[in-house]
Amino acid sequence: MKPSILFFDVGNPGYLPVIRDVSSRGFDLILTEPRLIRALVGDGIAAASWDSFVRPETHVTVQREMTRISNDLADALSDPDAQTAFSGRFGSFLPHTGQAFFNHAMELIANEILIIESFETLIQATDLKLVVFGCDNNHVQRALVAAARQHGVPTLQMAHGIYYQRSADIAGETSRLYSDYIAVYGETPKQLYIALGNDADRVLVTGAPLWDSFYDPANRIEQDDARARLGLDPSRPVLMSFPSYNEGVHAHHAIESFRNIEVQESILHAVASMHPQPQLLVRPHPLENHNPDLRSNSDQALEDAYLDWARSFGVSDVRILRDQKIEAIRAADIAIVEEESTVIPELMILDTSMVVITPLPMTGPYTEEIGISVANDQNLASTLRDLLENPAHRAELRARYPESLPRLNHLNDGRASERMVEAIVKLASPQSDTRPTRNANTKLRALLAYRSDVDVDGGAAAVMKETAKALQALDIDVDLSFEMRPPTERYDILHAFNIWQPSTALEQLRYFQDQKKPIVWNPFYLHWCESHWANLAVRAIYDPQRSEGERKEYLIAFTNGSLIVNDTTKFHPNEAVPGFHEQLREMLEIVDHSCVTSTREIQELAKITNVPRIPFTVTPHGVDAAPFRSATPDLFHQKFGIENFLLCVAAVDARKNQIMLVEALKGTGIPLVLIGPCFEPDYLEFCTKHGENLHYLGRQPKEVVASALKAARAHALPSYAEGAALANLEAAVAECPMIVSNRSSEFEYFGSAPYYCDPTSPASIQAAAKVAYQHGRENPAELAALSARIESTYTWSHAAELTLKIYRRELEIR
Amino acid sequence: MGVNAYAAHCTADDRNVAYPIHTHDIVDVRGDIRGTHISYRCRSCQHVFESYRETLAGVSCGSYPCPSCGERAELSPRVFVEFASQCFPYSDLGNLVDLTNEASRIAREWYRHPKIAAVLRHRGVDLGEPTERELLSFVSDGLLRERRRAKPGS
Repeated sequence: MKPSILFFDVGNPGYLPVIRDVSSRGFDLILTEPRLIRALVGDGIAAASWDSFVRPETHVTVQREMTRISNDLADALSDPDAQTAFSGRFGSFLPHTGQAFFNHAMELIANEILIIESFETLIQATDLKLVVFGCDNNHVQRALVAAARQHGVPTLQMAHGIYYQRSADIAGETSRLYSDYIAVYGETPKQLYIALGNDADRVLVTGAPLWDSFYDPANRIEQDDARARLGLDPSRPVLMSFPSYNEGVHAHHAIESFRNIEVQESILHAVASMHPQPQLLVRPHPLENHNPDLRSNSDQALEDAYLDWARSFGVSDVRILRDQKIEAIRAADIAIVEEESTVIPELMILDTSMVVITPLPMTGPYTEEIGISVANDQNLASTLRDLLENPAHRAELRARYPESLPRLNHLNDGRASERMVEAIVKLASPQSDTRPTRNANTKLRALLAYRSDVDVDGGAAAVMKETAKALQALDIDVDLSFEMRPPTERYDILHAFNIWQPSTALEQLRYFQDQKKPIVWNPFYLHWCESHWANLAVRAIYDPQRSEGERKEYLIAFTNGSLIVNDTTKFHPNEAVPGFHEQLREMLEIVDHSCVTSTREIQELAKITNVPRIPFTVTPHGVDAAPFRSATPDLFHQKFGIENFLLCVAAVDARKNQIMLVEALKGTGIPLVLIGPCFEPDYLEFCTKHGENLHYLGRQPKEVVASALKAARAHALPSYAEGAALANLEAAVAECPMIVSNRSSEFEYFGSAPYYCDPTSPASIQAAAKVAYQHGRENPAELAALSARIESTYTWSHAAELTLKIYRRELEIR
Repeated sequence: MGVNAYAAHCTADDRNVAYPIHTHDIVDVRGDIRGTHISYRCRSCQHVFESYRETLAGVSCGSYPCPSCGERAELSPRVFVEFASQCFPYSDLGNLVDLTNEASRIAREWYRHPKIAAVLRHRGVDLGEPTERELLSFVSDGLLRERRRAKPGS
């Protein structure tokens, strides 16, 4: 099977030379435009139609999917929280315009699904190597880019203009590249794209193939000849107008719509005021009124109406030209261009003088320095008069064109089509590396990304910050980000942190996936199944409305695992939030490599998602040992005066399970000190209400925590789920005896050193606590040995070295 | 909707002569990505109908037949500007830019809401993101209408 290239929405016949050459280089062609297919077939070149991949049964699939989506979307939108997505500073548009919005959105989505399904058919039937777009800013084109990306097929957009920044932020505008690559006209537009935040490697400079014919000597028609061909009076001046058009009216386009009319009025006023009155050529934008389904008037009727309107200004010699562009430009003494337009370099190539009419200063790549004149509505007539009366000045301005043209149309040599063909063939060649490459001598650049919707001072964030510091020490260029969609252009590796919150974590990973860079991921998967049940159970058991008898009954059922809360049971694969496990599966599909804190973590993750093959590395956490090793109990004693106590350093919440520790210590006389923030005030209240001899000290500085660990008889952390709790590592290096849960990674980190307990059993916790409290410090040598092992094994520099190995491996794989 | 009372006594020749539309003949102006659509009230039969605003050189021109009675109404650029100025009552470009920016934010964000995002996927493709540009006009139009309701005459 020959390799294929799909030319999607490439409709300008000016691209036929490019397409023919691509075919001659051994590629099968698939096109969407019947006119181009007919032209190719007429030349004896086989070209398949995209329509042949749109099978009748595809429409059934679309219908089925649309039924699902519209039902599910209606359900989703019944949630008031989802409705907030449509509100903002100007209120919500849902009440009055929402129905029209969703009807239209559903139409667009149906089109997208049709395209995606048809693309699947095409992929199965061909050896597709590349999709080339004439433009990639509508929903169908963009859905196709995304579908191609799913199959690893690169996409290229052939630029259709020189983009510059608009005054308003237009959603979906082409300032941010959508296809994998864009072929632009010259170095100037390339730099504009880079300045807008796009990756330089994705911007290919070819020049404009559609302008190649302008360089043909046969098209350098003398002015008199051009006028004769158009039947113009050779003795009177000729002005040519290149008006803009209104693509669609939303608020911003409304201004443009009014502006178009103002500009045309200014031009007609200016022409009417000149003697002799110049001949005016008007070339409408080819895409104006391009939708035949919406038309009520013929072109002729519109032209007649426009000419009537022009006559009302006293301008009678107007010609509307839809063809003969080159003749018209060469015939004109001066072209009038509405604001910044790609017509400008075209006029420069054809060596024609021009006036740009704009009310604002020129902000794009076109300036007066490159040889254009700028006017506003008020001085347009005088500017045109001055230029018409002064041919030498016009010639002096045109003499500046050659200097800037090579940057506007690459090399200014009329060979852009050849370069476009080379770019297409290179991207489509199997042996070609179409991915951006990095210079081996440059520093590896990594973005470590979290989000601001979680505790940015919590454990996961601390791991990110410490890893970043240690990577920097290894001479890696590291930045931290808490943005949901941070700019990624300058990085080689995107390193995301934390599953939680799953919806935002997934959203961020999807965004990273679109950046087409290796994604490394620290999930911190804690296997919340039991924890979720316990969280609900604790709320049920300690509900203040509960009688003491009921509470005891519930507690017994909790301990023996028979308590069912809100249909949730201890042993089921409970989801922390609905759809969580499906979200996890998608996360795993997106990321290239997972950094886990323990083998246990990856086992649980694989089990719960049923994803058997996950590239992973255990990158154990480091611990900042020095402050804990060298601390003394004095600071804590001085500050709080509490002695002979059991300590728990952790955020006070249901997962950390302080309440069962409180239950376990009832009647033992052992004081309990809790240090850590609290984001679940009701839970803290359960602890303080039911605790005996309980001291809650809130979040404390590191030196106080270190001193507390030295002062405590033992540290207890009977969690339902842990990664590698920093508090346990710190307790170990502080030589503090530990009571830990038997649920997670504790065995891997601490072996037989701690006192293990079942977190759901107060009796089990009590047994471990009593032994640790009474005998934990009896063998200081064992505590010291554990401390030394933890300190030497679990360092941030070790974690960074492992992480760096992963980065290098992922970059090599690509 | 009006009642067709005109067709009974109009002739084919009468219908070929367009009358100029005044602002009071225009009921509404609506925009979408395909362009502007204007709702007219036919001066002859009072039927209200919507037509795509056709332009040449960006200038509104052309005439529009009433689908009910066939009477043709001709739109001039200035009448369009006059009426549309009432629909887009922002004399200041900055205000319109501000509104467009806010509409763009919503067009980019609505489909990212976790509950909606979970629905709008097909074969791993996010179906919301490709619609941004085309739905912007709906959002923008909706926000403008909401604002006009909240502050009539603003």
